[in-house]
Amino acid sequence: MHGLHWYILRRAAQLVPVVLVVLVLNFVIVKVSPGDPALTLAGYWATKEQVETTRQRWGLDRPLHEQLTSYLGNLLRGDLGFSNHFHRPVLDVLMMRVPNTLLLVLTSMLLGMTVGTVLGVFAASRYGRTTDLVLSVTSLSFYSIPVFWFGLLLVLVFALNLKWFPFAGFVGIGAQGGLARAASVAWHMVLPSVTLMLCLYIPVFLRIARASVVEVMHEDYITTVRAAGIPERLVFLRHALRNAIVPVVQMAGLWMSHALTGVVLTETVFSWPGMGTLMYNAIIQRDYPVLMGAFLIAAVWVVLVFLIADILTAVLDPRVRYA
Amino acid sequence: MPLLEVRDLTVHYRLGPARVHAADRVSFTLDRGQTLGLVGESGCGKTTVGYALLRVLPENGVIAGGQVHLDGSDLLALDAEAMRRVRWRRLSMIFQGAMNALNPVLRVGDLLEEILQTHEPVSREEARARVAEQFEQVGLPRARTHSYPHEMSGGQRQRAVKAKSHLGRPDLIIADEPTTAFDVILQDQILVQLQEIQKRLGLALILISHDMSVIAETCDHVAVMYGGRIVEYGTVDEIFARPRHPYTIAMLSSFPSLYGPARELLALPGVPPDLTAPPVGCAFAPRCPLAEERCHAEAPAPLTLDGDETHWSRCHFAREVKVSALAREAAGAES
Ligand SMILES: Nc1ncnc2c1ncn2[C@@H]1O[C@H](COP(=O)(O)OP(=O)(O)OP(=O)(O)O)[C@@H](O)[C@H]1O
Ligand code: SF4
Ligand SMILES: [Mg+2]
Repeated sequence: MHGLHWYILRRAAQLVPVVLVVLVLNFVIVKVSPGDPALTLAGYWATKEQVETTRQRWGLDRPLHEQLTSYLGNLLRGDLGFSNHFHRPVLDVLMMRVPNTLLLVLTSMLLGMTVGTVLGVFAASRYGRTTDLVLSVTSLSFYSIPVFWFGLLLVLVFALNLKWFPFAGFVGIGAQGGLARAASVAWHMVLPSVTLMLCLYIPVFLRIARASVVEVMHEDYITTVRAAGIPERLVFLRHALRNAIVPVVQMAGLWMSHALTGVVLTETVFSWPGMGTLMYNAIIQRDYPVLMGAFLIAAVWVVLVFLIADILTAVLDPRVRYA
Repeated sequence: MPLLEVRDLTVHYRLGPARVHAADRVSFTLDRGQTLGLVGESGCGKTTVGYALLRVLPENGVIAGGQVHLDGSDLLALDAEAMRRVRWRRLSMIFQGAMNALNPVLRVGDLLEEILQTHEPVSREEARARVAEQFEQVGLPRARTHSYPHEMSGGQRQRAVKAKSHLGRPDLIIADEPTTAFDVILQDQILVQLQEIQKRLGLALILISHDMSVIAETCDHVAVMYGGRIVEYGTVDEIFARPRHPYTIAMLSSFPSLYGPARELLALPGVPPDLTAPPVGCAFAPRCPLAEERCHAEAPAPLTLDGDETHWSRCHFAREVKVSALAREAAGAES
């Protein structure tokens, strides 16, 4: 237990420098990207003098390191800047979008991860037989379909032709009140999350879970417990699964870390008002404050998810606690 | 009645369309309290025989024929549940390469307790006490029961694996290369300990090794394997004093004696046979200094040898002078 606590502490302390580096990188990337933010801020028709005033007003004429320190100082106060495009503080814009994306991605991922892992374990228990073959081939086929193409196909069939589901958006206009609104959001979420689950999460977790179980079942320690007369059911459930689940958790961490920024295509196809569409538009409109804020949130998310995944791995596998 | 009687045990591994004939009509018997050495070069099928006795072959392994009687019951005819109850309780195996033999996510003590409680209706506390006691008997401190395998040295893990086997007080332990990975001092300790336990519990032991000196020190009987078959069988005295198979002779003469350099009189040229297409004749023929035409065409049957009680050899010429002459020549070079 001592080992585990110590590991978590050490692992959490490593976050500080990582976040700092991410912040500086974030700042630099935006600074070196093409286009003059002062020009964008002042507007296309602004005169030279107006552009210069804007530059001074926003401190864009000051030396880089000063800009960096004031950027970091603002962050510490929770000020992520102001979006001219939305006429709102960046933090407000993000806080509207982040939950939408998380709702879509986390729902799809948790469902897809569970279904995929269960199917993968099942396939592994039927290793080499017809069931295993069918599951593996099917999942690989779905995985090789481009997400946006499959999404469009679903829209075409189930939204436009059959009219079972809405073809885009987040919530119906008429949906007022808590319950009706929730139902409407769920309704809008069906097609995008089915797309994500079938083309991404189920195949990914099916394959990793299957491969991991198959590998573990060949380990010497499995032969040991089998040769010691442990019932086959327990060999599988207690000894094999406990070991096999470690790579699945790590894979879950990896995909979870992409949650905020990894579904741009799906959000675009279904006009889902999340982080993906926000960033896509921010790039086109050179909305730098929003872009920087989005990067920042995404980076902090990645770092936190990895921390949680590492802690889970350490709980499951005593060997990593000392790594 | 012997404790273990193996007759014509034949094991294949499926390898795509091919079949690896890893054990071919293997027969031997073993009495209570006795030690049998199973010896032969790498890949000749020693581990396969051990796996087959316990019926824990990898999933592409098939027992294609034969009988295994342990204390009268036919192991190959038992259903899965009955076989499960035989494992560990009556027949236990210490696997080759104890490095990875323990579940890495479980504390070693917990694993052993689980095994014990699977077979016996004992309380948690009693199981714990017995595991700790067994640890002490194999020379591990009690506190080691709380360790994970990766926190132990190779030798300690080997001891833990041994504790696991002894804990069940089986009638028969199969120890697969228990000493190979360790230095000479540890090797001796391991062997001495195995023999001690064997005496105390009166259990029979199958010692798998490719090291003739280990076999000479510890065994009552020896079975020499080559290319999936037992080519010679006899008591330690018979095998070491009067080997009657050219392969045994070659092995004895090429193993380095403790007091001098290895004699290369009968160094083995060539490679072991391809077990996916075993030769029709004697498997050793391509490498045998005495091979004749007949050897390539006809597989030798076991020939019993006069004067020796249990001794037999699968060589056409086992009873003829040229084999005993080869043996004398090799022994001459040795001394
Ligand atoms: N799972 C498997 N599939 C196919 N062939 C196998 C398998 N396991 C072993 N073999 C083959 O069967 C033969 C016997 O293998 P086995 O492990 O019994 O040899 P061994 O005598 O124990 O060798 P070593 O001294 O190296 O441990 C070898 O030729 C090996 O290549
Ligand atoms: S049968 Fe022939 S080839 Fe085989 S060991 Fe005897 S002499 Fe050699
Ligand atoms: Mg082996």
